[in-house]
Amino acid sequence: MKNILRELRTERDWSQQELGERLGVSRQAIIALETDRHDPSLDLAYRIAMLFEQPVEAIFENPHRKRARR
Amino acid sequence: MRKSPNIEFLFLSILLALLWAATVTLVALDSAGVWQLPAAEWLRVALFALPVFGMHVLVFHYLRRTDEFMRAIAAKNFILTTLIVLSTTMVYGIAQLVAEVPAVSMYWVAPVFWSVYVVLTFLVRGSRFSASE
Repeated sequence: MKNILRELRTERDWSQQELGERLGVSRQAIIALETDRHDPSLDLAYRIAMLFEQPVEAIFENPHRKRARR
Repeated sequence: MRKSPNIEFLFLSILLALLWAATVTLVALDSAGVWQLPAAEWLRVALFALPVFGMHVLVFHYLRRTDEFMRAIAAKNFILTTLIVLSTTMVYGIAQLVAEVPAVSMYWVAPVFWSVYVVLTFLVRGSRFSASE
């Protein structure tokens, strides 16, 4: 799932390790999310949204919305 | 500081592998023949079984402690390893029945399983089940 996690993280000068610690996940999980190799669970997506104080859809692109537009 | 589940898993699995190697060495170097006594038969089996069951408990413990991404990767690895080992052992079993191939003990299934699992950990990078990942 495409997302702006890397941009949000670098804006705050956080390392992947630091973001992982804030979210309670491993650095590998952050790398996988940023490189679109893992779709987060709803629980993790909400945690990310809460941390960055943005709605989930502002951070993660909704692939179904994209498909519906075609 | 909370230990990383990955480091803990790696450390404990190496420890179990060493226990396994120590058991094999102990039984192989048994010059006095103590381990060959009928009374020691089940003790021998138990000693070999300990690291095998230990590994399974360790995996379960790891899956409970780690995060969703590592859990998804581990589950994907397990599924792929199971498919590879099941098909390979079944084909080899049939080959043993119908062709001239060396007989291999079932004992080897667990070491082969974990070897395949380790190889896959270097290949599986994403949690999705698509061909590219």
